[in-house]
Parts: sequence; structure tokens; C-alpha cells
Amino acid sequence: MLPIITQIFFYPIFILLLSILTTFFIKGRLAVKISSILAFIACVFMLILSINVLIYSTTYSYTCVLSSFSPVVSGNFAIFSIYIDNLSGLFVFVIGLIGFLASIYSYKYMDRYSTEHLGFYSLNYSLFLLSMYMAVIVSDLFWFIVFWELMTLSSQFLVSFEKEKRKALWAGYKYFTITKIGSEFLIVGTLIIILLFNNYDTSYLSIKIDSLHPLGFLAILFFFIGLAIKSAITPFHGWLPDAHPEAPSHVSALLSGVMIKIPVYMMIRLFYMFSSPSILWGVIVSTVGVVTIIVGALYGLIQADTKRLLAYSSIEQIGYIILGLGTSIILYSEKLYVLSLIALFGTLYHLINHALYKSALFLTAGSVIYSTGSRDMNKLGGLAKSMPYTSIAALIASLAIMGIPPLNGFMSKWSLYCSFFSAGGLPLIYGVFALFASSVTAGMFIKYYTTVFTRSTRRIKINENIKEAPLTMIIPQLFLVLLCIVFGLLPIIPYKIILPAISRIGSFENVLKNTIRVGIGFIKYAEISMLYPLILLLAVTIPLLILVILMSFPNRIEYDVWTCGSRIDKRLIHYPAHSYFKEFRENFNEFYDSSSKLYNLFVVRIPRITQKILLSICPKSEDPSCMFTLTIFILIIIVTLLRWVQP
Amino acid sequence: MMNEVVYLIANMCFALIMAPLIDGIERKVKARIQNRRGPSIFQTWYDLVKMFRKPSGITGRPAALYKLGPLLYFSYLSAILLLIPLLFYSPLSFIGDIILVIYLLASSRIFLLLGSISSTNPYSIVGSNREISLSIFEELAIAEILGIIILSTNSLLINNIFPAVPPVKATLILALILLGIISYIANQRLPFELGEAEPELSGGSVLEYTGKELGLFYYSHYIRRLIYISIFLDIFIPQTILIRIWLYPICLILVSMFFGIVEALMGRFRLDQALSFLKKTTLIGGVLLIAAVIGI
Repeated sequence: MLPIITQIFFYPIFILLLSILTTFFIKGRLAVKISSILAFIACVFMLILSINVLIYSTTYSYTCVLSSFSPVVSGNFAIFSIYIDNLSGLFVFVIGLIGFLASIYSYKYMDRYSTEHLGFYSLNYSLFLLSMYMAVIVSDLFWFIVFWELMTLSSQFLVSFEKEKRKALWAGYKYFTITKIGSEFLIVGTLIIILLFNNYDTSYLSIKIDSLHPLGFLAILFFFIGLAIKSAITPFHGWLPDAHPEAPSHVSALLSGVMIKIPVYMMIRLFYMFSSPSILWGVIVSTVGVVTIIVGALYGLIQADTKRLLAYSSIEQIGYIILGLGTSIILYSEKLYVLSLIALFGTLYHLINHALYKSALFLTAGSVIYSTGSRDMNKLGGLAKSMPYTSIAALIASLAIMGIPPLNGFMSKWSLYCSFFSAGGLPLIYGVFALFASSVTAGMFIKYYTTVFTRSTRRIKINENIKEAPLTMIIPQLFLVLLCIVFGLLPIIPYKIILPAISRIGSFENVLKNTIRVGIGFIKYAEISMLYPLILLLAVTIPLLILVILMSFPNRIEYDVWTCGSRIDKRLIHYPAHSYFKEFRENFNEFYDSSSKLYNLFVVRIPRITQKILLSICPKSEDPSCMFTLTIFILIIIVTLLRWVQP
Repeated sequence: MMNEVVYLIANMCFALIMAPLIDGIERKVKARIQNRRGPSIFQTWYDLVKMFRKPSGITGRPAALYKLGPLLYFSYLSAILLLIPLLFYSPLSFIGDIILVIYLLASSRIFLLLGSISSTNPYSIVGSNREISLSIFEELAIAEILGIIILSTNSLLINNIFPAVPPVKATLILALILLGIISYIANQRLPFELGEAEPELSGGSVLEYTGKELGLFYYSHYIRRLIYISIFLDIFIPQTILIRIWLYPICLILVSMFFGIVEALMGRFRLDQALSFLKKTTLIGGVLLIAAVIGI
């Protein structure tokens, strides 16, 4: 192999470091342009790298002994090692793809911000991409945590880089404190692993946790909580709906499309590689997954702010991913390997799909902000005429997230549902709820699309003189939407990308070998689903084409919208976004009420109770194990409390 | 191979021709109950033909989605006709097709709603909103019924699920009754016909459609009814061609006559009444699902 290829994983690091250094000295608009272009190049290299890894099954490894450079560095930090296997490759692919498009988008989009803090923004943007990239390619838990923290820090500054905006500052603060606590959990988990083995080797290959051992269970628990906080799983999702809307839209796309998926990467390693899948963990993971789906969906339905709605929908979609992972673990521990493989395949397929359509949706919301300056769905309206390309991108991405066959959202949900419903028992009940939630998603995105793009325009200032967003902002959206269609119609492409990533896990390798030989089960299943979308497309388009031809006879009359015969200015008739699904909301009052009751319960009572407990425990402060337990309790309480922090 | 193509075409033609006829029969039945003679059973077909001859109307604004709405509604529904057993069993069968059918049904409705909201008429928006609220609950009930059926038959293939083989469990029978109720509700029959609601919303979600589009909308609507009734019937009727070919049309007509009678006796619910009825249905469905998982 060419030396240029063998060292390719270094190029993104160098380029992004270069970008960080330059933007450290250059300020203003120039810094944004430089960081966008350099990030763009770095992401292209990431894509090349991931294609190398996934298609040609190359693994890259690199070890650097840092202590030989400087004697100060010691312990676990003495050795810095990179190991890119297929699983890392898949996530590098997602980072590269979304980062590549977000960088193109940011080139023009950042014009709407004042020049004051742009240098700071650019520095953090490069740092954010770099730390995400490093987090998935390092092969040691210590280094993973280092880059994880760096990712939290830089993304926090991206959320609140406009220091004057109080709301953004609060969102950033809330986001940082909650996710910081999450990383403390990771540190505690790592410490337990060290305690368990009595040595300090924390590279991925050497970790083997016995999930039945009480300490092993505790280690997995802490890891899971730490990762769950970052990926906004339900009791800890409070930071996401505040942080994502405040960030610039392409950063929201990165946060939603990529960053909240990095914990899923670690979860797959944790449950499949560091320990063997156990049914208990499968049940826990899938339960939090389904709760996340329901909360995300039902709260998303009642939002009236475009980016907040998208943020809640991200919570819902991450729920699908977690539920799929949990089901896969359950099925694996019941030795139903084929079904488990389908569930894991569906999980990763959905992960990629969510990255595609959610990024596209955030970018469309960003274009709307760029052109009108507003995120308020009550005020926006009728943008389909003035922003046709953005409107098309938003429509197709909305249809994809609703799961309209044969777009990609349906294909991944389909394989998830097949595994849920075949599994029976608990996964089946969860599958029923997931199916219900996807109809709520449909309501949510009908609302998003129609309020912003097709409804009649209201006669207010923001709706006047609207221009389509510039070309560098349209192209990323259309490209993402195109990928949504391609990944739906040709599932063979994601199949080729995902299968190498999971084929090395546990017993899946044997399963795949056997089924290829026998020709039943997964492979047959997969081949039928591979062909099916195209047949489906034909089945739908043939009648459609016939109809379009039949209906398009020029025999047509034009008339105005019917308004009970009275002559009113059409722009005065307006159905506001907060009236959407009002009756539905009233019927789900139990749900919304009980969550607000929980709010009162926690916010009002818990501080008092904790105060009492603290006072009574105070004399025992010399007992380390007691204090350790206490610290953990307080951490959990702080996380749940911070959910409700409002600016 | 040849047989299968013939089956597909026969299924398709049967559904496309029969759907408006069934509505014609229903109209006759309703008229008889209200002491009228009623139109001929071909009246629905006459109406449709007349509507297709008329020019289509455009409201000027985002015309593309508004125009495509009924077209996509029809195409997605006609794709379902290939998948479910009608006059003959469906030769196109693969794992998970039952989930596909549910998604196709839901998507067809989404396209219709997107189209009608895009007409920018406030009445249409109100009507569509009501339909979405109802459909979310319906989807929950359908998901629960699907779960029970899959649990009792252990299969994700439509041809294996239908007809349900003995020993039949109690939960399955109750779930089927629920399915009957849901297939009544999902077709916007009278107590639940809130999206259109002629007297209050004067057409609601179809208010702005005229001529060809309106005709296509009604045509698809009848097909949709036929699909729901067929899914309900397929559970009882065996796949054997000789029995199915006469039993299925008779049952289809009988069920739709029954639905017509119920519709003639009912008034329209308010939205909150309809929603709370659906809520109760979904609660019962939830209890049944849990019972089925336990194994009753």
C-alpha cells in the first residue's frame, strides 16, 4: 500500500491542528473562512479514510510512546495509541460526511453573526471536529475520556460563543454542567475497572468486564449513565432542547447528527466488546430507550420553535437507536444471533439515517433563520414560494424522518421493527410503543413543514422580501436529501458499510459465515429487503405517472381560497402553530401533567431532603466509602435537577 | 409464475372496480333505513366518472404539493393492493410485509394531509389537524393489535398471519373485535368523520379540491375502506382459492352493509368525544397486549 494511504489518519489531525493554530491568531470573518475550508479538507480525508477502512477492511494502528519525549508524562498517558477498526471507521464516516457538509454550510451562514466572537467560534469549531474524530479512533479509555472532555468543552463554547446572549449562556452552562457530570461517571467507571483488574492497562483490547461480578456491574452502570447523559437519554435529556437551538445551525446539525451518536459507539464497545451481552443490561437499555422515544415524541409535538422541535425529535430518534441496541443485547443473550444481528444492523442503519435527515432538517431551519431571522413557527409561513430549494430539502427530509417508504427512515425502522416484533415479550411491547411514536413523529413533521413552508403568509415584517439562501447553503441540504433517497432505495450501500463494522463482534462472525453457506436467515432476508424498495418504488410510481399524465390536461381553472364567501385579506386568516393538535394535547394531559408534577416534586422537595441528609451524614465524613456513595447520589440528583434550570 | 401474475392483476382489478360499488351498496342500505328508495348501486361510479370529466382547480399557491396530494394518496393505496390477500392470496410476500402495509396506509394519509394543508385554507388545516390527532390514536391501537396478532401467529408474513389458525386464544379474538372497531374508525365513518365534517367545516380536508382531484380523492377513499375491511376479513377467510373466491366478496359486502347500517344510525362525535373513545379503545388494547405477552 502507498505510504500516503498508510498515514492517512494523520492528515485530519494535522489540518485541524493547523486550523486551530491559525484561528488562534486571526480574528473576524477571515477566521471563519479559514476554519471552514480547513475543516472541509480534513473531513474529506476522514471520508477517504473511512472508505478505506470499511470497503477494503484495512485496520490502522499507531502507537506513540509519549514518555520518551517528556518524562513528565507517565502512567496511562505515557502511551498514545490509535486503532481504527471497522466500528471506528463507521463513525469516522458519519463525522466526515456531516462535518464536510456542515463546513460548506458554515462558510456563508456565519455571516449573520457579528464579527466580535468569530475567532473564538472558529477555534472551537475546529477543536470540536478534532476531538470527535480523536474520540472514536483512540484505543485507550483514558485518552477517550480526554477527548470526550475536550468535545464537551468545545461544543459548549459553540453553543454559547455569543457572550451577550443570556439565553445562550444559560443553555451552554446547563449543557456543560450536566455533561461534565456525565464524564465524571466515566472516570469513576474507569477507576472501578482499574480496581477490578489491579493493573493500569485500559486499552480496549485488554478490558474484559464480568457483568455478573458486582463491581463489574457497577462499572458498566457508571459507564452507561455517563454515556446516557451525553446522548440525552430521558432522565438526563434536559440539556439538549436548550443547547441545540442556541448553537449556529450547522453546529446543531453536528451536535444532533454526530455528537450524540459518539456515546452509542462507546456503548457498542461496552456491551459487546468489553463485556458479554447480558439480558439484564438489554432490558435496562431498551427500557430507557423506549421512555426516551415517548418523551421526545410527545414533547416535540407541542413545540412552536423550529429548532426546539428538531431537538426534541433528536431525543426521540436517539431513543430508537438505544432501543434497537437494547433489543439486540437481549436477543444476543438469548442466543438468537440472527435476530440480534438484524437489530444491531437496524440500529446502525438508523444512526446513519438520523445523521442524514436530522442534519438536513437543521440546515433547512438554519436557512430559514438566515433569510427571515426567526425560529418562531407561529410567525413564519409560506416560504415555499420564496425559498423553493430549502422547501424541497425540508419536505424530503421530513418525509424521510416520518418513515415514508421507500425513503431511508422507513428502511431502518423496518429492520428494527422486524427484530422487535420477532423477539416477542418485552421488545414486542416496546416495539408497539415505538410504532405509536413514529405516528407522533409524523404529526410533528407535518407541523414543521406546513407551518414554515406552505401555510399562508402572515402580514408581518419577517415575512417580507425573503430571498433564497446562498448556493453554499443550499448544496449541503440537497446533497443530504439526495443521500436520504439513495440510502433508502439502495439499502445495499449502508449494508456494505455497516456489516463490516459489526461482523467482528462476538458470535456474529460465525452467524454470517453459516448463513452464507446455508443461504437462509439473515442473508436471504437482507437480499429480499435489498431488492424490495425498488419494486415498491415502481409499484408507487407507475400509477402516479399514469395519473400525472391523465390529470395534466390543460383543462384547468384558477380560483382563490374559499373563505365562506366573504372578502377578507387571506393573510389575516392564520392558523397558529400552537393551535396544532390542541385537542390531542388535552387528551394526553395525564402525561404532560405527571411530568410537571415530577418537576414540582423534584425541584421543591429534593433540595430540602438532600440538605437534611447532608446534615445527618456530616459527622461521617472521614469514612471514604460512605462519602463515595454520597458523591454519586449527589451527582445523580444534580443531573436530574439541572433538567429544569430555566434562564 | 403465470398464475401469480394473473392473481395480482385479478386482485388489483377486483379492488379497483368493487370499491365504488361497495359504497353504492352502502348508500342503498342507508337509504332503506331512512325510508328512502335510494340511488342505484352504480351511482357512486356515475359520480366519479362525472368528477373525472370536470376540469381541476388550482388555488394559485404552493400548487405542487397541493396537486400531488391526492395522486400520492392513490398511488400508495394501490401499492397496498399488491401486498394483501384480496380475491386471491397475494403472491408478493416477504418477511415484514405486514409492517410495510401499516406504513403504506399511514403514508398515504400523510400525503393527503400535506396536500390539503398546502391548500392554505384554514378549514382544511383544522380538518387535517383533527385527522392527525385521530390517526395518532388509531396508530397506537393498530400497533397493539399488530403486536397481539404477531404474538399469536409467530410470523411477520401476511400470508402466514392470515387466516389465524387454531388454537385461537382469547386475546386474539378480542383483538380482532378491536380491529373491526378500528377499521370502522379509520375509514372516517360517521361518528368519527371529523376531518371532512360537512356541516361545520364544509368539507374540511378536501374543501379546496374540485373536479379530477376530488374524484381521485373519493375513489382512493373507497379503496382505503376496501383495504381495511379486507385486512379484517383475511383473518377469518382461508387462503384456499375455491372457498375464498366466493366467500370473500360475500363477506366484503356483508361487512360493509353492516358498517353502513351503523353509520346510518349514528350522529357525529365532537373531537374530544371521539378522542376519548379512541383513548379507551387504546387502553383496552394495551391491557390485551400485556395479557397476550403473558400468554393468555
